[in-house]
Amino acid sequence: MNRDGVYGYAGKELRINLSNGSIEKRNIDPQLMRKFIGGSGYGAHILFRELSAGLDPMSDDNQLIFATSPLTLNEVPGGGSVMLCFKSPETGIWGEARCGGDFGPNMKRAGYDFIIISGRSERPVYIEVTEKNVVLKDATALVGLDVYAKSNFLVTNVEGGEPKHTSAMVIGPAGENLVKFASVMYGDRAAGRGGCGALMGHKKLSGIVVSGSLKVKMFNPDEFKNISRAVMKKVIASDTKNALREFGTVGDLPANDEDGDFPTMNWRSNSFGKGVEIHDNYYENIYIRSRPCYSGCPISCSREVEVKDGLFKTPLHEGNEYETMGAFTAFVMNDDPALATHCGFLCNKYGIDTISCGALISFAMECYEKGIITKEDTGGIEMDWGSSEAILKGIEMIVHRKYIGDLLAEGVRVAAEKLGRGSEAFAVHVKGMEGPVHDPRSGKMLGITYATGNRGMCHIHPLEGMAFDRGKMTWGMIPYGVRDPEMIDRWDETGKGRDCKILQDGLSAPDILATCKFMMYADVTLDDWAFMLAAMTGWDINGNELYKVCERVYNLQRLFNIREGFGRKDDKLPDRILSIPQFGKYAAHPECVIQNFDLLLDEYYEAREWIKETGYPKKEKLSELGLDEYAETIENDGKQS
Amino acid sequence: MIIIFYANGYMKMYLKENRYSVELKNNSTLSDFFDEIDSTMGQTLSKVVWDHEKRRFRGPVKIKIEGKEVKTENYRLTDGQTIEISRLLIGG
Repeated sequence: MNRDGVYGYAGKELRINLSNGSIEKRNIDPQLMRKFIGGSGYGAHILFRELSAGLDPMSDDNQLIFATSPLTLNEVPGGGSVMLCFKSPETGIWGEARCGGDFGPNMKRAGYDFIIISGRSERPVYIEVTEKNVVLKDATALVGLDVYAKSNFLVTNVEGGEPKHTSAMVIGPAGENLVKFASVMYGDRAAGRGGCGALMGHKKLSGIVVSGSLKVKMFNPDEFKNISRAVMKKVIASDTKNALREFGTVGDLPANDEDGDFPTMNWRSNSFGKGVEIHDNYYENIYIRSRPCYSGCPISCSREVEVKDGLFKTPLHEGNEYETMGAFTAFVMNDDPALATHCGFLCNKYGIDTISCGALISFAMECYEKGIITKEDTGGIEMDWGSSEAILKGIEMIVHRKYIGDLLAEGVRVAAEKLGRGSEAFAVHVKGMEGPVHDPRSGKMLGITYATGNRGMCHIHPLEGMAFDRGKMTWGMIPYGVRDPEMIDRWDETGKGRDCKILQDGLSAPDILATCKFMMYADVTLDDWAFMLAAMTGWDINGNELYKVCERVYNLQRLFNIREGFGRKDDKLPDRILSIPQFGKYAAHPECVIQNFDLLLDEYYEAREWIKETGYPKKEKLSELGLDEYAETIENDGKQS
Repeated sequence: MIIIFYANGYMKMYLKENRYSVELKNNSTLSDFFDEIDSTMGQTLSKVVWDHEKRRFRGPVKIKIEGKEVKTENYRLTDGQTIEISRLLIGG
């Protein structure tokens, strides 16, 4: 127990204002912890309360929160994570990004559950956080260095830290250049989506290093040990754990391609037809071994990869997972996994989101094909589909904001708005976030997931709809009302709005707990999380109450977006997704396209108890969730009907 | 001897029938079972799940015999055994 009587927490939030250099250590509020727990839950509370409506996300007042929870602990399955929360520079709405690795556990060892950064420094700085001290240090000499060099500097120069428990998260040149989808990196791991790296760049914050050896007090250590060990055993015995360790997420690539879940050529199609070849080539020539992203992970989904020779020679690193592989193959019509691996490496080195980067290059290729941009815009490069030169130079142009890259660095929504000439029709995004490498023309739940996700067009925050429709996964959510997917065809629409709501709430749990979502793929249930929490904190909590916290947080994030002017009119899908694929296996299968999106959305709103016309939560719902005081803020702004 | 095999979960998308029976010589192994699948169905099975060249399942495919996962290909089969084949969608 920390001195304020909250077991499981370090007990402190660290607030740093970079404008005036103030450093404040505040006690956490036990009641707020019970209500929002941590991660994206407490992050939503802070950002809703402390950011004003309409705030420019690239202004000094935007905040960047590094958030953990009582389950951020190496002994907890999936406990090696940290959640970053912010108003997204790319979308202007709710932003969150999870990062694997040991940063979260080491942040707690340094004595903090949350680090909340506001303001903007006049000169480049980095923050060193140890259990003894918090210091802002000059980072002028680090400017321009890549992610690996910066991370290495921060970790090896900590004063008074615990070498075994030291971790750094940094930005690369993309963040410094304010690329709106720049990442914050933990080595090769990324808090990737939404542009938290751009926000750090704006704040002139090069990185944060945390180090310590403190241990949190548990309410019932023996009970916690018993439960966490039992959950760990369950994960180890699960089918998914074995598959993830052996194949990583890239293992899905051939089937995704075959099943129409592989957006190709800027979403003109949902299948590339080269998935098997890419997969086999990758495993035979590039993949080295699996590895865990944090000490103690029972799954080890990460891939160590290397391209030993050839045009795209790439050093050994923790390399491409599925999304990166898809973004630099099917998106841009490249069938060489060595090139895709090299692109992933460059993105990590520069600190840029691989999904958005691949999406922007494919968008630029289509603009080039249609004559909307020319060689004059690209520095002489022919942006042809599949061209390795175009792909590699495209990354450089975006990261360094050269030529058309300066516009692409703003994200596809802004780029299309400025380019015009019909490019808006093939700018694939929801609420400003580019689509990932999963296509709703493989199963209908993914469509409603994309349209309603609080951070935009995201496949995993909080839900992978395709894993329900095709993978027949339930994540232990049938007791909460989800139907058995074995009984449902992937092309069915009726009922999926309701299923989606329940799954979104349930799968928000790892985001709130700042844990790895893959644990729920490996049989960890809401009850498992809740019982670990109970033993850790002494709370009387079970899966049902955790589910209610998830629903509360989902609605609060929705309120955050409503306050920014978003509602039903923005819960929509890009035209490409609502169109029959132009080529490939599914061009002859019109049933793959959502037939009645409005009906699906109505059903979803009804399940959420949101107003159908506006997409705003009903007052009674907010009351039930204990969110009255947040609703009042919206009402005062005139956004709530 | 006769071996029954069927697809489970996600794997059902890739097999035409719910249930197959395969005739093998006595004392056949899992490896022989694979060879038989390849010779009878190898050309028609989706290459997403079947590697015709290697005559093995491709990707995250799990094989359970009488409810227990079997990875060793020299596992000796017995008459009437049931093999369950499932493919996992990993996510990510």
